[in-house]
Amino acid sequence: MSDEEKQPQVSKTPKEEPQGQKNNKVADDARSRALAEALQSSFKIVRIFMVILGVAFICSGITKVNENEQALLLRFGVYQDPPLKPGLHFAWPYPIDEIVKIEVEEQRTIESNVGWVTAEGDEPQDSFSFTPDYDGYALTGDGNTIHIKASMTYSLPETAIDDYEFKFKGVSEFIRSALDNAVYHAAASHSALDAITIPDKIKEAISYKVREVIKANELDITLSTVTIEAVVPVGVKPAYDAFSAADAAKVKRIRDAEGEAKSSIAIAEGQAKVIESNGKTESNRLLTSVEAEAKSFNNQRPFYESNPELFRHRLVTETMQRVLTNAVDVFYLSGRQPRIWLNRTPAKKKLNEGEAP
Amino acid sequence: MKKNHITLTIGVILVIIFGFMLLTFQVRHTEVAIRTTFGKAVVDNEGKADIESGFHFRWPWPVNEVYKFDKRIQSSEWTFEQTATTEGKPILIKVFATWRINNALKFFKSFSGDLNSADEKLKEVVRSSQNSVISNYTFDQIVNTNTDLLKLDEIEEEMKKNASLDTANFGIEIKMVGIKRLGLPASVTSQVFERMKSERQARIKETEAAGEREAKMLRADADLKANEILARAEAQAKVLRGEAEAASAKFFKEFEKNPELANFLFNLNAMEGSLKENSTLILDPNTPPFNLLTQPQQNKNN
Repeated sequence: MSDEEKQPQVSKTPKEEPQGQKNNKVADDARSRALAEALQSSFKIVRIFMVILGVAFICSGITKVNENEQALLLRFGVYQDPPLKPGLHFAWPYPIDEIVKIEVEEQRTIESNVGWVTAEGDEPQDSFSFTPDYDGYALTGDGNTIHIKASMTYSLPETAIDDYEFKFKGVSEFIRSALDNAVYHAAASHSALDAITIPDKIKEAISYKVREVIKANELDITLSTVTIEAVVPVGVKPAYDAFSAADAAKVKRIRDAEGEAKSSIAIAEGQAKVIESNGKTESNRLLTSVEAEAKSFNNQRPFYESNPELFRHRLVTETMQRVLTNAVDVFYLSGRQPRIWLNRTPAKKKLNEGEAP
Repeated sequence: MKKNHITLTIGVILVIIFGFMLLTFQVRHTEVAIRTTFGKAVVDNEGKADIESGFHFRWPWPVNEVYKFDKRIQSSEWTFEQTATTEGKPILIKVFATWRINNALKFFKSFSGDLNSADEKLKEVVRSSQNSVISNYTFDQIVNTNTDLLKLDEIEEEMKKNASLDTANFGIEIKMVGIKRLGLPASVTSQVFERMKSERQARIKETEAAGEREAKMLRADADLKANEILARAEAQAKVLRGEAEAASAKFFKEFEKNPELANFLFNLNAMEGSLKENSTLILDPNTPPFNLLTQPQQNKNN
């Protein structure tokens, strides 16, 4: 209704109307005017309110993007590349524009514990067998079973934020499924012992498989770290512990043998040095002694040649003197009265190794 | 008059907005849509009815109707259930599949656009594929430490291929089928535990024997090397002695000047050398100088 329509109609002159009616008219006019004024002011309020609403509607698209966020702008439903950086951004109100904000965490973490926890979320339990719907475990390449869980951290390249947000319905669930898949692949290709003793091999296999699955699904994420924890079932742990002890004993035995081997080679090398040194000494001595003997021979020869008998007798006697001095026992047989010279100092008894003197 | 203009403008704007709402529709980046005219899908020259994201025109109901579907990749997983390998061994398997709508019209015709119905159908298809594929492989091809014999990737690829054949007509593209869990029936796992224990016992004995063998080999090698070192040293010493003897030959020539004296001196030295320490001598009374002791007796007797 326009303002003109709301104005009271004043077409008849007061002379044409009786006094009572005139009074009533006056009262009606006053009411009408009051009503018109009230309506006018109400419409003003409505107009102001509408203007405010209009402005609010137009400004409703303005969005603040925080430092830990990135935002994707859709215009008429179509993604506008690139993503919006932190700051204040103008956008037309929905349904023209739509802004989807994403928290940009430096590192996102996904955990796969389908091979670890029970159906109630408890840690692995001791039991005689695994109940498929209850116990979490994985089959290993040697047909055994282990409990295994893995955790993976990843980040999103800036160029992949739109894919991460728009390409998947439940992207976290998908990545978790990819990690579960990788864990079961890795377990199925390694022995239970390898899984618990060489976790790096398992981690490498998991990383490789996750990348493969992610790539197959055209998702671009950057895998940062993969951590795993693997244990054998509680019931068979003592047997594995005993094996670990035996393995440690084996390593110790081998190290001891290596030590002994090194030691015996070192001793042999020392002995070899002694032998070589002795050989050198002996050869030097031989050479020196022969030289000395030759010199002595040449010195003695003139004496010998002048009186051989006397020379021989003198030397034999001198030699016998030295020999008899050193001899322990001398049995001297002289007809019916044998005489024995006994050495005053008895010969020292040879001691065996480790024996007290 | 001015007031009429304002009212008219607002009215026109409202009519335009209302008209746009009736005559246009928007498809989001994550969606795909189809449009029907009096119930019949509107298809392009290539026979496709998919309407991609953006702003589009339409006639108001009942002329045109628009149906929108989520075109994002969806991940579905189903129950952990038992199947059998080609040799009849029971195995428990749980698979997941990632898929998306690649033909909105077929999807609409197959499931009336209901994602839950699609998920149920997929479950049926993937389960069938899973059972038929697993039954073509042995247990050793599902779990094996020898990666050449392990066929898990191939199994997953086969399952995807088989399932894709069935889902192609539903307007669904399967991106991948993956194993999410593998297990054994409860009765088998108890036997596995026993086997794991006995395997460890056997490995303990094997490890102990291997340790002993390796230690012995190390010691034997070391002894061999030590003996070689000593033998080389002995040989070196002999060589040195030989060289010394050769070098002393020139001095031996001196002895040729009087061989009788030389022999006498050698014998004397040899005798002294052999009787040097702790010797016991049994001597004839005529041996000089002891013949001096018997000489007076003889003289007396004479």
